[in-house]
Amino acid sequence: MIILDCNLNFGATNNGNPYSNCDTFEDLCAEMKRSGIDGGLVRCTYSDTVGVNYGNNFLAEKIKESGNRYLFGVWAVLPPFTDETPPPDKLPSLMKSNGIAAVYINPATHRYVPSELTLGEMFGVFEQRKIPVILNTDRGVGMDLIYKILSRFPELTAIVGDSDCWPNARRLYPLAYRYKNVRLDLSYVMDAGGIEDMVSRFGAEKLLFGTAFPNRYTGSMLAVTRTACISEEDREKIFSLNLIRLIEEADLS
Amino acid sequence: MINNKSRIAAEFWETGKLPCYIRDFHAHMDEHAQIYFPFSSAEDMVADMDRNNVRSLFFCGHFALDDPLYGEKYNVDAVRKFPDRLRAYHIIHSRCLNPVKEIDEVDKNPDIYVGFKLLGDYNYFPVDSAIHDPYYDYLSQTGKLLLLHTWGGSGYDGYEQVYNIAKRFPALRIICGHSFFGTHKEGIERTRQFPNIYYELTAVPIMRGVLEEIVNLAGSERVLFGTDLPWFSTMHGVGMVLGADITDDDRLNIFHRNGDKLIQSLNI
Repeated sequence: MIILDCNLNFGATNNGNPYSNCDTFEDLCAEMKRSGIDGGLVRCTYSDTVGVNYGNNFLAEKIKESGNRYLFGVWAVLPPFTDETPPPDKLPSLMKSNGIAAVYINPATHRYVPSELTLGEMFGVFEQRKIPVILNTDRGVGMDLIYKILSRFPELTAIVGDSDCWPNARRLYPLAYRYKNVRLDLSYVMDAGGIEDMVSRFGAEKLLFGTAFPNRYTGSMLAVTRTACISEEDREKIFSLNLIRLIEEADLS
Repeated sequence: MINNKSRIAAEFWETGKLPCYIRDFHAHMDEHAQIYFPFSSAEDMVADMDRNNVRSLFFCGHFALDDPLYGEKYNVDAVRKFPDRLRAYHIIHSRCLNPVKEIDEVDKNPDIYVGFKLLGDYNYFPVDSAIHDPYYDYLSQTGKLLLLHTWGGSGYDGYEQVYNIAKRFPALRIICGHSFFGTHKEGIERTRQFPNIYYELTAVPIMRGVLEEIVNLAGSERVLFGTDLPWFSTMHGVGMVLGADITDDDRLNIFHRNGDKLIQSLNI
């Protein structure tokens, strides 16, 4: 069974935290090999800590070099008013040519006001073209904002993650029930019976395997997903098929 | 495969079953006002234990944690339903103490209780306060367990408070729940001189690299497995232990060997 992780990142930091770092792309690949993860969506933290283009370009180079057909990049995007990242109409084809399959926003770190004005045009394109957008509370997007974005763009293909270390079903389930193109990142779904409960409620199709590596141990969610009391068909969807489908559905022409 | 350097991890991945059993020293039970749990009853928890090769589970239910008047009886009821699998920690509510009655309950019911649990942060009360001395005296004399919620930076149950207790009650067996999360390095360095202190793993999985450091600093012989079930899946903690950069011998110590020794000494 192919295993794809929707929440990987790498990049050296100078934040003084002795834990949870994965400095290089090569370190990331080594950990994937050690733990049996075949690929997935990977983000470069330099887009948050150094410069958006610095990180995006660095990531694209590494993705190309890797030659891993299952590894896809995630670019940070900015509102178009400062012309720092490609405009929404040019972005999809650039993503395709650079091995990028999804985008994320981090308005807190990138210091802009997330609003209809700043994000509306971009998100309209993402919604129309089914480009996966990562909305993760670990990246400067609160649950309130996620609710607002999905209310405004109900067809958006969104990968939602809530990094709160307490079980978070009361915050996530409404989104999974209401919005057909929402997928939940399982990186933070640690509670007993959580996966089984979600599969029985809204189906395995809504769930993407994730580990939040290097912040968290890859082994934790591998073990949870490997042993969840669900069918093997559902397990395969969660481990890889759902993400592959999401990537294939995106219009990056 | 989780970890291509571990025989135990390889067997687990192949079969979906852990090839060794687990002793879980830190769990809860029943519903909680702030959280939706898909399952949380005693029956659910024992079914989860069966699936995941957990031989014994020591817990203190949410009702006991949060209701100082009526909650404790639910601990008793659960253990009576599953006497071969469950044991409880009697809660200590620092602002609602009745040491004579509570120590008597623990003492007269060894088939129910393995000791006491205390959460300084939740009581907003320091665990090293002398008002807890009767409990600590009793536990020191009997060898029963004290499970403390310990958290980094806390003035109620941080490592200084634990150090103060251990210094005054060196025979007291203290399980540091969460291993001073956030300050585990400083906490272990401060407290490891006391051989009756153990470091427990709930919350640790959410920060990669911490388990390795705990094992390096304290030795795997001082580490106990715990889940916080139903907050965290048993497998979430198991996966961390399997995937961490430690040896298979360390893993066996953590999963059950250390727990076996403690339990043997409790005569359960």
